[in-house]
Amino acid sequence: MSEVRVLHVPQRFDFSQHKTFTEQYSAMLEETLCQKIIMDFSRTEYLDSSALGMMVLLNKKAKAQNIHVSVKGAKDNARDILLIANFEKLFEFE
Amino acid sequence: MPLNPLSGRRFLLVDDDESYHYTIGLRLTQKDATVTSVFSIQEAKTLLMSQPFDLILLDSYLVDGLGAELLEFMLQNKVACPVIMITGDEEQQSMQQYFLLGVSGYLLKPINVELLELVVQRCLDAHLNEQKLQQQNRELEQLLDEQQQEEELARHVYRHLSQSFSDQPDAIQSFMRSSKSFNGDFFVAEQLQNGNTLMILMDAAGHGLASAISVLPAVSTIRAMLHEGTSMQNIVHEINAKLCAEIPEDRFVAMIAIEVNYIQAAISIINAGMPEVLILNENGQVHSCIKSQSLPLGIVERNDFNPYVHTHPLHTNQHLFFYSDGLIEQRGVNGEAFGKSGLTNVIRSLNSTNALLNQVVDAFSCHSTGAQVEDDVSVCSVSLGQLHEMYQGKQASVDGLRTGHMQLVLDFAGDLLAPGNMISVLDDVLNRIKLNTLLRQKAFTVFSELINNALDHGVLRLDSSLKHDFESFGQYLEERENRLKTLEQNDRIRLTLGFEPEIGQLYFDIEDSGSGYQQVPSEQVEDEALFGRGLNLVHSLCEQIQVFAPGNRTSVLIK
Repeated sequence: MSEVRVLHVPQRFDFSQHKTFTEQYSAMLEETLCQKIIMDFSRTEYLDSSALGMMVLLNKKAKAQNIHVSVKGAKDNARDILLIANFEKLFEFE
Repeated sequence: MPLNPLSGRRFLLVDDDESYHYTIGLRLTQKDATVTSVFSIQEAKTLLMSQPFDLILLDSYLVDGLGAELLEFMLQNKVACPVIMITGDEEQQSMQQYFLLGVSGYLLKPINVELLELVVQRCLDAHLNEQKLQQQNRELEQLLDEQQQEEELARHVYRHLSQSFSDQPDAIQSFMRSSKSFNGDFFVAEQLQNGNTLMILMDAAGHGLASAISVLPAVSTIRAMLHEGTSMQNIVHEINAKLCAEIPEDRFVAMIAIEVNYIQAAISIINAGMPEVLILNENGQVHSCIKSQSLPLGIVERNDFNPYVHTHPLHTNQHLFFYSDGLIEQRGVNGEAFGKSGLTNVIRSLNSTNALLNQVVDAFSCHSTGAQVEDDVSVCSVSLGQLHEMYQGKQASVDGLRTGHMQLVLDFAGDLLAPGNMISVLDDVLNRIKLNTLLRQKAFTVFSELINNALDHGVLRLDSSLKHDFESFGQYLEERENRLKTLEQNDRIRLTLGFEPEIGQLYFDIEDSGSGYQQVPSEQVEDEALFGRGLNLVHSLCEQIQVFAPGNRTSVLIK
């Protein structure tokens, strides 16, 4: 089984995604072999501050289990929002 | 065994034909119901006013009147009990009239008891459901009312906590629009004791009550620290620590903090997760953009939080413009965002910065008319020229000449060695003797610098090189907090403050119990290189500075 999990971020990433997003990453964190989660923003056009909050929480939980979280494929508006919040200081941008 | 829905039910049968009393009474009592029989309208009225029933079976023609009369009586006296008409009247018009008067069912004589039982059951069920619905409605109304009261209380507390700062001067204009009844954006502008102006704009993640609550710990920290003579960087760090401790992990607060220092003619800006701060020339041209270079507050602990402080010279012909992301992300009726382009268009069309805020707000309102408000929106516009004029005006306005003498000696030791304690005592004294504002503001800056240095580097022996690096400032504060907990009675700071009216000067002497952290010059020092960053500022504000061996005592004259 691979040790890297990819979390596909939806097109519009906001509070309405809270339940789905939390369930998805919680399942990944429960896998004993998981060492890295890649958040794939390839199809994300918009994210809001609640989404950033969900990312912070995922990062804290993952860190506590020594799981590395990275960001991939963020572009245009989504990338701008992540950079305004200086999230490159929290996550590795691939 | 199926439940008997008629068991225990109380029926009132109103009919002047005794045979029906017998047939219906028998059937219902076999089902364990109670049947009360009356033969006239009058008897029925009397009974209805004295005891409750679950269902009434009513004939339309009785000896003393029509069944309709009893229905009207029930309506008038608010007797809420379902009624089934039992009648030989087949006229559709009569049926219509009875239904209009509120009956629940209609049975034709001669009575089929099987059908009667089914209709009675259906009618009781419907009535029960109706009552349940009414009860649920009442509960919902009560819940909504309670929620409204709680919101009202929360709003009152929030308003009180967030708005008891002083009024904003004309030089600082702000516009706020909240998407819900609570606002997660917060703006404060205050003049500090040292005369500097501090402005803080915060935007908590999300909106509504949840984000307004996230802002409150930050507001209380600002209020507690505003008059302590501490640096903006310190305040921002303290807010970060408080938010880390007090709000949930998926919540955070983006912030712009700006301090205008008139004496040093400089502006310091921290942008932590907010859209860029614009510095505009007087013709509206963008001079520079201060981008966010820090994580928002409440995400990482003190040691990892390194907000970058951008410094810019204070030019009185310039203008500051900053806002929360709600402004550029708000969509119009066609779904397009106001965007940076919307803002840039307004700024490009300006001839002067005078009406900047109004023009941006007008363009924004025009764009968002008819669209749903998605996020809290804040816009702030600051005329540095007007702000500077206001500062100078204040210096001129209170210029009391004092002729009396004053000397004050303060000796602080152990856990009372908080710089806020010492600085506020000194400031309070100068305030009470109504010293002129400029001298008092200069003195406040000097006190803050010297007291903080004496405590940090003298008593606590902290390495000042950590303090001058954004990356390690958090570590510095953490270490400081740890050492403050270990203070003992022989850790002390002694302050002497005197006013010399003949020369209009303040004399200030500070001595700490440390082993000496300042270099002691052989003679009176004029070389600024010997002083640290804070001491340079002290040097520029004082007529004379003397450092005594081994570097733990400093005397200054402030004029």
